[in-house]
Amino acid sequence: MRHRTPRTPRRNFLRASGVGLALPLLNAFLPRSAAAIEESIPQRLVCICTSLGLHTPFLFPEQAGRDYEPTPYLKLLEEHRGELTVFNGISHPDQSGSDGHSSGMTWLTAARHPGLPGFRNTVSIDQWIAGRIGLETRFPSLQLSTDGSSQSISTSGIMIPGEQSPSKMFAKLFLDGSADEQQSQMQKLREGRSIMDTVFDEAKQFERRVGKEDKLKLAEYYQSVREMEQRLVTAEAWIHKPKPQVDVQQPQDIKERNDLIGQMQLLFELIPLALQTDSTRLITVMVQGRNDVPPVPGVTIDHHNLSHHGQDAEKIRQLRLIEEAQIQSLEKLIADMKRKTEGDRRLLDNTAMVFGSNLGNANAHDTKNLPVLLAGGRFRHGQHLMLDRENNTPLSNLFVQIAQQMGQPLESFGSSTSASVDGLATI
Amino acid sequence: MSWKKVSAIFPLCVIGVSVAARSLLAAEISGDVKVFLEKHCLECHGAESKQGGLDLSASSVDLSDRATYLRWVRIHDRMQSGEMPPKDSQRPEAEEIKPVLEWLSQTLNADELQRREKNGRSVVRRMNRAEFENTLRDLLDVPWIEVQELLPEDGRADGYTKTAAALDISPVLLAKYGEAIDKALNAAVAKWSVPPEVERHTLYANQQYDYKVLMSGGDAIMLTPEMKYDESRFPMPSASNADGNYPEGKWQFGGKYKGLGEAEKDGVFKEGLTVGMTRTFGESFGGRFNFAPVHPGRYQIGVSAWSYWWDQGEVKPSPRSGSVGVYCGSRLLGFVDAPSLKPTYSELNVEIEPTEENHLRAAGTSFLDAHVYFSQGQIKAYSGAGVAIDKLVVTGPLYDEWPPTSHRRLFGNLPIVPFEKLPPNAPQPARPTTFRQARGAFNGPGRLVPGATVSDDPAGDARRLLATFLPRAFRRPVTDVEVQRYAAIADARGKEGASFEDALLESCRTALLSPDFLFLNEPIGTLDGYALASRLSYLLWNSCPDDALLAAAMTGTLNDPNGLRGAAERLLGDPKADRFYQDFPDQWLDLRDFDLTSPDKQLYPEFQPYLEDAMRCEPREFFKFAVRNRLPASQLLSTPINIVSQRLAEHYGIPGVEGTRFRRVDVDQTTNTRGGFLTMAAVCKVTANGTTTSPVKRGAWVMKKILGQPPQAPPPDVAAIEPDVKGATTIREQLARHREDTSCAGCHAHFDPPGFALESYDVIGGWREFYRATEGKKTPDFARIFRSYLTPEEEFKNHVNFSDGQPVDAGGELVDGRKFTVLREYQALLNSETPVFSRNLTNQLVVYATGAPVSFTDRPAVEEILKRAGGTNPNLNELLHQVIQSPLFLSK
Repeated sequence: MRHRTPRTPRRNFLRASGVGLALPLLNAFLPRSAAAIEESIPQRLVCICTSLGLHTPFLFPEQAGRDYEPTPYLKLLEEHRGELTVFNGISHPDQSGSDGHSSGMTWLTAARHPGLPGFRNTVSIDQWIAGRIGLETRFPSLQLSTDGSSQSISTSGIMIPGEQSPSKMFAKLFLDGSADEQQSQMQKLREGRSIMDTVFDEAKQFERRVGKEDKLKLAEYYQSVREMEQRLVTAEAWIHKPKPQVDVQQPQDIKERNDLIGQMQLLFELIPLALQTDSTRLITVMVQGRNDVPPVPGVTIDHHNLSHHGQDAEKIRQLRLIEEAQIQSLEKLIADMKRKTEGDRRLLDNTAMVFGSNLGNANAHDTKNLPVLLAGGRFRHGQHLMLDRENNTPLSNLFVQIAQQMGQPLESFGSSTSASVDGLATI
Repeated sequence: MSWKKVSAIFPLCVIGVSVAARSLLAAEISGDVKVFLEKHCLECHGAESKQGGLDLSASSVDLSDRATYLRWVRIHDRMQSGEMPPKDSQRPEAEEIKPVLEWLSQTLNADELQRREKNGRSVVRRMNRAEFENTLRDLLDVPWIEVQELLPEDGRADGYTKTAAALDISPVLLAKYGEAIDKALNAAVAKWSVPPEVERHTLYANQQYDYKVLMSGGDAIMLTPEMKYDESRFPMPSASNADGNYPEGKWQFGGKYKGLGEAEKDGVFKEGLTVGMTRTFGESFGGRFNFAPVHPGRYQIGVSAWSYWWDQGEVKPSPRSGSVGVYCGSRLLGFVDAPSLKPTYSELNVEIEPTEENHLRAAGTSFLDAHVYFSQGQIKAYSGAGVAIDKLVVTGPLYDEWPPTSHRRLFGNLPIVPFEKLPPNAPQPARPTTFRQARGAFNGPGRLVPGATVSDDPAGDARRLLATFLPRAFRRPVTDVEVQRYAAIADARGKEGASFEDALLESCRTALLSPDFLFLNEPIGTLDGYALASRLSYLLWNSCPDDALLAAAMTGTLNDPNGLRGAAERLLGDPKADRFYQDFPDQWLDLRDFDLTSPDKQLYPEFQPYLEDAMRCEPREFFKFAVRNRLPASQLLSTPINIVSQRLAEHYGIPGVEGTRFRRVDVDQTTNTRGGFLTMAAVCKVTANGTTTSPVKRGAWVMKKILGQPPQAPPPDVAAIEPDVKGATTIREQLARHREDTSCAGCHAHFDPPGFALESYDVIGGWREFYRATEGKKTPDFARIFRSYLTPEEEFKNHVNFSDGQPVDAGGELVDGRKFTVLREYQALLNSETPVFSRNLTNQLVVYATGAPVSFTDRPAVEEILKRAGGTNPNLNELLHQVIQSPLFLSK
């Protein structure tokens, strides 16, 4: 937000461009980050949040540094030890909010006191970056989700809904519709633009009849109409370009709504595909634990209840089974990201992957000492980075460091106090 | 002016200015105020001690910032109530405080009034998603349409989704609203030139696949019309003939048939008969009937059912009346009665929107967690409660006229011409798939004649139809120019080759995305009739005005107090007012968070869908009763009147209530504290976390929601108490440590007591004397806890796995020293707070009704409402009317 490159005013652009717009022309109008021009290989960010937390006694090792003894969860990731950093003592400040889970909406924004009176969410880190590089790909960013929510928050502070269906997302990414479908899609887009044109004019009429603060509210509406137009124009341009082909079948959605692990695995499988085809460079994944029993062998109690284990040994045992299954999915994803290469680098090297939760201790809805792992993205990994568990390092510091590593001129974000996390070196 | 005035006296920390450098003491403050603050406040609320988190020397004075404004209001209020400066300090004289209060009050008022001059009290807002859905339903007459799920959740501000601050607009939201509008418009259009055939079917339970499987598996039996089990006609599978073990050691399909197919071939199910089951929903039993509605619309569904006690082959009277849940897919249509040995036919009239999985389903409701009532394939050896279903009778879709009203709202009386009769080159409307057939349902769409609405004079008809549609959509008269603008869209689409139907829909779609539809627009100052009509209908119906209300706006009736009262009465008497009776308590008391937590199944096995639904309906039924019967406000907190159904009465320990219908039952208040919102199961649930209750959370809820005195958020670094359900410690013991800390004690002394008083109610609102615990040796008196699940011999035979933990102590002491030992005594003490409660209730109604917070400046208006409504304990109906008649409601 603070480094906005001046752009051609969108409205003029729309008026001038007409319909059959070709891509190169479109690109000429876009701000391009310095890094993207220098680097031919795109830089990406993937953020995965498991919103019912992780039982951190099973995650955080006792020893700080490189020679830590792996804990139950880290044992599952031992294969990738050298590609992984475990942060201990990192969080967003002032996350007490309207209820125990409201920090779910601020995990990528760092806005303070979510949900309390006067609260207004701010842009999430992925959307800030998408605002700069988003239009270079077919999809500025992707939101994957097991329940339809996401942590991606627009510049106006609104949550962007997540896609729950892996098969729909696959179709969106890789399947070209028939000529008829494309034609009708074009038609719909054109209609959409004509509607937006009309309502924009209607809003002008409407504005004449309202007060001063009302006008500010209406400005949100204008802004939205304009962004809609812009998206429609971009979408039209992309329709003419065939979608990338991948050598993978369209996945079948899992019907059992309680099968959290199965759903997250299917969503995870889309990540390397979407990144390698450069369909997008920013992905957030919301893994929302549910109020029912996931089909994990040995689990008989619903997930949310387990997270409020009340120190009950049996509940903690079952919780561990679910969380281990989640970590195993992550393990598979990291392995996939290592296997795929571009040029002489692995896909993982060009992708910063953040995995963690907005809750440090879900049993007490505590938002300090969050479980956070970082893989890839050309950082010097391999350690358990022990930070101050009393005075936590702002998670925003990590966001700034990642953005900079992606070539984005971001100096501060959210509640950041520094442009890097002490002890985390880049390559 | 105000801003300058404040900052002249507190030239301290305005945003961005270095705060530490200057303090209140160093600043030039003239007159009494400075002297007062220095003398009485700064010692505790200065830069060093910052008690209660308040540092006056670093406090912002930018009153345009909401939080700052509220902080100063709070300071004013604390001083006015005499709470500050505190008792143990040197108290200033009354005449010393007075000018300070006056000055503060003037300053706060001046700022607010200045703001209002330019914009009014409220800010223009869009509809929230419930209003949006209701408005589409009512405007287009498609009452079955469900679009809320498509839309992102609304924010909340001041507790409600009714104010501009809560209702953002984003491109995503706009796109989603667009999808919802498309869906609703598509649903409104009639696609057939003649109405779809009405399906009429009698579906006997024993002929439904799911039930056959249940019977052959030994968890249900066929019953004769004499309500008997006749082994010779309907042999039970051998799997269930065993007294204990299965015949060959494992479950297998049994009886004299090898499989279901063989039994069918032999004609076992040929005659339509009753099925008595011991399983309920959720136990691998879907209860599907082989019919799935294909067309949206009104359906009549009749169910004949009864209950019994199954005793190893014999049908006996049931100790309690049962009930049947009726669903379409996963959507609950309703619960119907199944009295003991008395086949009872009930009818449900429902609006159905077909979805992918939408078989009609019916089965007995369960009382305890599923496995308990499971006869495990051995029904011969089983004794337990059962529900019998005779049949389900379905009729629909039912239309009062064709084309249906929804279609007429858009296309008036234009004819729908069959496709085959259209001229060869005439454009046909592009329509999304119009129906989906559920797998396994025997019914099809029936004979259909697809057709399109045609016009001989597209330009003229578009103008004529839009001139009727737009005023309804925009809730105000429209000008010819406006009609012209929207008609031009249809003209253009028509020229491009679209059908008339598609072209006109394009105009409508555009209108519904425009701010005139999405925003509730109100002129600054006194509202005109139309803006008033919308305020009224969005208050009482959560939706747009109907034609009668718009007519009242046009004639000026609404501008007359009697006319307005009459209109409000009419709206309150309409079934659509249920939306208000549901939504207001939902928002006010946070009851919409009902589903956020699920009770631990081991500890609360009785939390089943039927009970859950009853808990969800009770606040609406109670509030509706209270408003319609003009109960005094204080009865919302404590009353002998309960509005309950059988299941809820059982949950509450109220005897003698039979059936699913909600009705009034008065309890003896000396022995039963149940009655009013405080003891309502839904309230107990939303103030608990699902597994445990916390007096802190409940107490804070009472302070905030009931008394309107929200406690301050805990200091940032206090760790929350970790719940413990093993039963070793009570929450009271854990809290005691917390309260020993003096910095915590000050606030906790205010809000813990009401929480303690409510400790007698568990996380689902059941009465308890002991906490339920997962570990521990003390066996609870199950027969007492689960009175409704006893056998005819009054024994409790089910397996329930929890223990008695620590005993509950519901005593406490209010901050003023008054003590109580049980909830009843606390309620008596709370009674003296009735004026505070009434005022808060009025405030809540005002926020909800006007879409703006009640500010400092609105206080006299609120007092006036209370006065006119009858004082400190007004009757609820009159209070509502006085809110509507107040200047706060009548002007923006």
